[in-house]
Amino acid sequence: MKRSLFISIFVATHLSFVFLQIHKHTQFIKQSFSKQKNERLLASLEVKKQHLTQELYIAKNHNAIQEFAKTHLNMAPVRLGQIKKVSHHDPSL
Amino acid sequence: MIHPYKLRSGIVFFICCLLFTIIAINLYFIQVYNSAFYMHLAEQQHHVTVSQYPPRADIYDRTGKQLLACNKECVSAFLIPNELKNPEAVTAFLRSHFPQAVAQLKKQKRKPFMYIRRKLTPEQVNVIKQANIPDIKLLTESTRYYPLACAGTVIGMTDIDNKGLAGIELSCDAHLTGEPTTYSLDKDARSGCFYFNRETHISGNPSSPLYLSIDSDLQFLAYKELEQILAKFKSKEGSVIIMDPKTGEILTMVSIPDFDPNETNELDPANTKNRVVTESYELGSVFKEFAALAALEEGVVTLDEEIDCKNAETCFIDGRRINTTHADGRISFRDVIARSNNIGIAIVAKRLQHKIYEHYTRMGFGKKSGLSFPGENPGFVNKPENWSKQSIISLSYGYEVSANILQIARAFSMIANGGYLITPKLKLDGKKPTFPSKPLYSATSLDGIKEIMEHTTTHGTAKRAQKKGYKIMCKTGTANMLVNGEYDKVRNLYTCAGIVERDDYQRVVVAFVKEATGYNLFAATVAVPLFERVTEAMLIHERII
Repeated sequence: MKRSLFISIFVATHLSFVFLQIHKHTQFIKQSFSKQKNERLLASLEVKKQHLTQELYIAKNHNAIQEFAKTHLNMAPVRLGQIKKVSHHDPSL
Repeated sequence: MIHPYKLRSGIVFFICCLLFTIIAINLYFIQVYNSAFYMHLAEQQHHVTVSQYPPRADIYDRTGKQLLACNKECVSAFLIPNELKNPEAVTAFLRSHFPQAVAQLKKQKRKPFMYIRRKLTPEQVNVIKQANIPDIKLLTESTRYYPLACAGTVIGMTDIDNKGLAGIELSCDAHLTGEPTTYSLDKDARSGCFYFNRETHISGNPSSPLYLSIDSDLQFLAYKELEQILAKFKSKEGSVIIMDPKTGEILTMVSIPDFDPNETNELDPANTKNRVVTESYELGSVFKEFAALAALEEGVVTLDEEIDCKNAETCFIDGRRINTTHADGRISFRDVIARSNNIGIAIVAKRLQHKIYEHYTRMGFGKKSGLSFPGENPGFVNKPENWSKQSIISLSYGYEVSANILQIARAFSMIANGGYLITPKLKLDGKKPTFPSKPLYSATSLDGIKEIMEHTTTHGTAKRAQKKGYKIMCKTGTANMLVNGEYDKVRNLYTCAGIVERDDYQRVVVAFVKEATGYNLFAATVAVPLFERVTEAMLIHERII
């Protein structure tokens, strides 16, 4: 009885070790694939970011802004003489 | 007699044995005889070695917020010539949309890869997608986008493989590219683009963003001012540089003709030059400032010494003819420079003799500035052993000596920062500028030359550059261009270089225009207005009010 119990435990332990090893490997591959998927997602988001950055800079184009300010807002360049420095302690404020 | 079932079972047994023998022989050939070949094949399928370059780094301006160069995805079309399923359809399509690829395909029929065209436009991508020819495939590649087109000559550009071709893209190519990392990937036939395990064989260096000293807004403002002045005088070439004399940082570096690095299909290579550094010119009277500094340092003249300028527009010294714009009699040395009298400065320069050469080279002329910008022209100073009788006279008012615009800014920075010849900087590396232990010129000489420059702005040729509340110290120069070995009196170079000061704030500005169209033009009417407008834009932008 004792002998058969020992053999059963021995076999069961080894089987569980084998199972755990396989499980570990499966989990590793699963996580690795998940990581790779995330990496690919990150790369695609990076491409989207590049695209949006490009669109942002096209919208922020200095020439276009200057043209818009001149034609639509009737703005003119400021001359140095037109600027008055205002102090916080100015009594006229 | 043998029983039929025994015969049948014997035949079955024999066939089984034969089959097992065939399998065993096959296994022998696969596992033993050809083992090396199949092992190699399996290795190739299971282990893939990949070299991966990091993405090319972005370039920012001095604020760290404005991008000057970044990556963007583009689409390229390719085919596999030796595996074409429908060559007729491919050829017909290429003939109508990409005719240049037809001849290429004929030549490369047996090749495993051929680009049809790289960096396709969205319209071309649509045409390919609509044609729906399986042999024509698309792939995405990385390319560069330059948000600030007016900085094109400084930033430069990359080639079709994203390698630096000009400007900062070329000079900092290694920094921007980084070093590739080599991986070994474990895969199987079904894993596709995934892998089981990854091992790093050679660890590379990631690229890191580059921060330039350029102020993108100021660059744009200076560009617009230059563009307007060039249009007004129907000139084709001009430059502006703004530099911090204390650190050597270049805030603005504009040159026209220029190019848009985003539109390189029909590019004139001459327009990719950053003429602030790649061209050197004989700049004329601007050099009187440096000749005067040399004379003050050597003690051969004082500011108030009266120089006899012969009261003539033309005179002869040592049998050499000298022309000047205005006839002046006996005037102080201060006025000689302020009124830009060639006769007066030639008389003083004769007292310096060979020392003028030493001083010009000491101020950085005739050698590279240390900026490490591709194609920098070191300029030229005529050596005393090559001098004629004319040379000392010519050198005193900026002939027989050529310099690029950056060298002029550098020499003015030396005057502004107390005599230290600083190395100009385009890259912000966080390091403090290193100054030599001793200044090149004494404080007395530098104060003297600053006084002369201020006098030139208040009473001389650069009156238009004056600004109330600011100390502006300028020198102008109008120089005849050397055309076919002779100085052309109609084609001129116009320069105005100066220092702008207020309290601790200091900037060096150089404005340059080549060949203006108009009657009786001088630097005072061409380059000084440009200097004044750029200075004003700079003061407002930097809030020095």
